[in-house]
Amino acid sequence: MKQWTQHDARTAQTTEAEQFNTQHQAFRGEMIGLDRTQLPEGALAQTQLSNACLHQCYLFNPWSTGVIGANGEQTRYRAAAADTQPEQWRAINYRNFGSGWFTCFETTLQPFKGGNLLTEWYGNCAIQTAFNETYNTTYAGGSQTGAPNEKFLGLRILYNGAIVAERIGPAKAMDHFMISGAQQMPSGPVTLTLQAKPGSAGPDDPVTEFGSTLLLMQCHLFANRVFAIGRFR
Amino acid sequence: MSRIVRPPVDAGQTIDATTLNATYNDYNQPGALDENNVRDQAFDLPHLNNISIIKNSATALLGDANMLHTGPAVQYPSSLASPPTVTRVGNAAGTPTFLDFGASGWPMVGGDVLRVWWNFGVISFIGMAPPTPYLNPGAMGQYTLEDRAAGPSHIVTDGFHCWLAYLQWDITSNALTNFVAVSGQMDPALGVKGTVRDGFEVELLSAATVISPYQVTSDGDARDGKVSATLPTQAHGWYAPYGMYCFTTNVAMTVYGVRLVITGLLHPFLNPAGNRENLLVYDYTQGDALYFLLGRGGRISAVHMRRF
Repeated sequence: MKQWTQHDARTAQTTEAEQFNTQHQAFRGEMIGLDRTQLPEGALAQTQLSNACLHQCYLFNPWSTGVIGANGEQTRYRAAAADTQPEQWRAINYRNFGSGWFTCFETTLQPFKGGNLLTEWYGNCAIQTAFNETYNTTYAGGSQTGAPNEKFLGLRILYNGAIVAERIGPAKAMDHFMISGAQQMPSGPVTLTLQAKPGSAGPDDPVTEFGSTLLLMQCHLFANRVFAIGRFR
Repeated sequence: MSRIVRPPVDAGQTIDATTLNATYNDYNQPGALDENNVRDQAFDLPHLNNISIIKNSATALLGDANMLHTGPAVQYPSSLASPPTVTRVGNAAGTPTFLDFGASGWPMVGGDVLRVWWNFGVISFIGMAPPTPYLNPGAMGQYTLEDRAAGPSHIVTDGFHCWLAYLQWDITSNALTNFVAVSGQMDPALGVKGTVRDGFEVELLSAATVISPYQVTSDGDARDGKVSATLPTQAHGWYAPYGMYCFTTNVAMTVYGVRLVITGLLHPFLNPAGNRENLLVYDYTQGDALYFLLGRGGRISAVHMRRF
């Protein structure tokens, strides 16, 4: 709070112009000269900083893709209930999925003032791993002839469309995973994209149950949670 | 930039206090200063008071601190019947092991964040010897494949059974007698979503980790979607499941402790009604005193921090 330092003017008091100018000059000196030498240590508390002044956390737990009843799940490939085994999930099967990377979750992180952006993606998955080694396929370079039919679930994190982290993911039938990545990013909103790459169909993989039209679940991601933190500098 | 524009007063000119006080008020208005009134590099870290983004942190042992295969281990039983069994993680002496945030707990205000990480070494003992229990009558996840030689078809298991480890917290008191599932996570429901099954809604597993007890493999037999025998199963060895949880609050609350619990065995299930959501339900046909998860040691850590 500013205080009179040169004169203390009272109501209806008559003053000289120089009296005013002296005080004016004193104020002006304070206004344009604030620096670390004039402020005591600890002068700036958290409440005086604007939100997201130094950092910003972004939480998506569970993530929402807008599909009712499916928070935290990938819903890009979601089998119709009528095509789903009663003791499996509406998920990826060999009729709705071919091959390649697909986006599980995408959002815009803002405000982002420029600096380091760290993302942790944790999730669970179901993978039909039983047929990673069949009559005509081998498993991860094994002794049998034939092409590999690995069922690893690939995972990767992208910022503004550029890959910042990628890994060979889980390979158990019911498994969990974590992938994290960090990158220096310029200021402005950042598009965070999380992608997965299930194994594609092998030549010997069964697609449906014998004598049934119900499709077998091949892969699903569920109980996903994402934490990101921007450290602005 | 905050700037005050007022006509100058000439030297020798007589003014009264009204003008002077108006000028005083010019400089006394709240919020008038902004970053442009401050020279570049005006502030350094010592000026920033108590703005560490971390408010609290803690870590604790899970189970026993012994990694030898002959070391102590604890059995986490499978659920034999409704209601299911949910067991908190502890050590071989029977003492619960969890994060205790002290007498005052961790007071969280709106905008605060709680993050938790854990890992825990386990091995699943279930159905090692044939016939595998996953093929017992009534076991979930069975389906049929055609025989390669046009003989009788074969019943196989899909391998999607799992244990479930998830986090509970006590936000009631430091007596730590009121652990419930953390926000976004559910404790098992009897007749979940109106079904005849006990279990979980998959969309409410925000603090959960699934743990696979075994793998099923074609082992080079499957050809053109057909098999010559049922698919063999094989148990996993020791491995270390892990989990991560993050939570932010908009209201004041206090967290007094966080613990890890284990339950099972569960299997995917499709809700036949409503939105036809995905469910994770108990398969009590897999409940048996001989089937359990053996847990040894691990660690759980948490931080309490500002969201911004």
